[in-house]
Amino acid sequence: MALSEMELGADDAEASPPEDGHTHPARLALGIAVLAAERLRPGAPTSEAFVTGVGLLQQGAAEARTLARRVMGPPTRMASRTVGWASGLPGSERPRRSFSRSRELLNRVVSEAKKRGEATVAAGRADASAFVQASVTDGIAWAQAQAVPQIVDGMLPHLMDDVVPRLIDGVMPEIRTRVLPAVIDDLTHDPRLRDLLMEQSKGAVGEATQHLRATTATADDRVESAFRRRGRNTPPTDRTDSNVIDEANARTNDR
Amino acid sequence: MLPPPVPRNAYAGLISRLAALVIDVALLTVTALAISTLPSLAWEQVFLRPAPGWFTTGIAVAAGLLPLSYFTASWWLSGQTVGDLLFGIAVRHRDGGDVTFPQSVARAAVGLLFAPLWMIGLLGVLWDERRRAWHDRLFRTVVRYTAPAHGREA
Repeated sequence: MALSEMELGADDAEASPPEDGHTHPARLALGIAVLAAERLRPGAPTSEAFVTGVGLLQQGAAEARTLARRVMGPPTRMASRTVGWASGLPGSERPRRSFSRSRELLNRVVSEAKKRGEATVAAGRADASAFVQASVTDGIAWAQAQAVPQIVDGMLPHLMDDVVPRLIDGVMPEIRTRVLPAVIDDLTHDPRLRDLLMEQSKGAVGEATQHLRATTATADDRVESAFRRRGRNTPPTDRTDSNVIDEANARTNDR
Repeated sequence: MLPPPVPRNAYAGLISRLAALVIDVALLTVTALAISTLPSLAWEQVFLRPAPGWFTTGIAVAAGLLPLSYFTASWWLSGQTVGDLLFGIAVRHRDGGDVTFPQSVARAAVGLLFAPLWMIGLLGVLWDERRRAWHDRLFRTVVRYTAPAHGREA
């Protein structure tokens, strides 16, 4: 089942997820396994045996998997060396040529299987990364939209009625005895706060003084107006000293 | 709501001048009382006997000269007493300059010696074009608003 599906998935296997959004299940499972292995063994590359095995599996033959194990395993190498040694014996030229062709064919098959396995593993890994990221993003969005508000709404009455009062009752003595004195001490020794209070005090006093001056000046005008109305004198003037001084100087000069 | 702003460079009226005078009188009363009593009490506390005559006479003279020196120094140095400073008015020479020392001394002496006449003369503010009292005419002075802020440019 999985072999043929993986083979289909590996036909376009590259180191990136498919752009059409459809991911092959077998390749996705392979990628997840690779990611899990990387998490378990950080920094360790995917073994060549695994990659070659994947490639051979994609070729669709259980015998090829067995062959790959033999080729990659120590007994296989020992057998290969033994055959090589035997091929060097007198009278073994004909079998030797046959063995050589077999070894070349086997090496070519293994090399192709390795390349194909690497491509499939890379593509599966990319698929798995995208799948995991999408799953996490969807999960967080769902939690933010659905789960967290419901949880908070459900817990809020309990928190407000039971937990928070108990927390406050438990923490208040500590706050009173340790935190507040420290905060007050810091604030009273903070030059910025003192400057701020000084400025505010100056501002309040200045504003009160301005109000007082404006009020008495208004009273000056009203008293003078009332006096002039009663005495039928000329209306009060609101002339600047500069004007009057100019007129006085002019009068002095006339004299 | 704030009343209309203080007119800048305008002449101070009767209410402002009277209010400043009240402040100055109150301040001088308290200060003179302190000067005339506290040193004698301190002498008794330190030496455990009544203050001698020369001492009480000295502090009586100082208390008596306090108003004259206060008004003279205030008008001569800045044109403003404490009351003037509070209400934003100042005594100036009629040509706009500072009051001279002789002007200050004479103005203070006449005001203190003839206080009732001084008070009556203040009514001259009501009909004079430059709001001058009788003593202002006599000593060639004027009293103006000095409020630098919120000032309405008249």
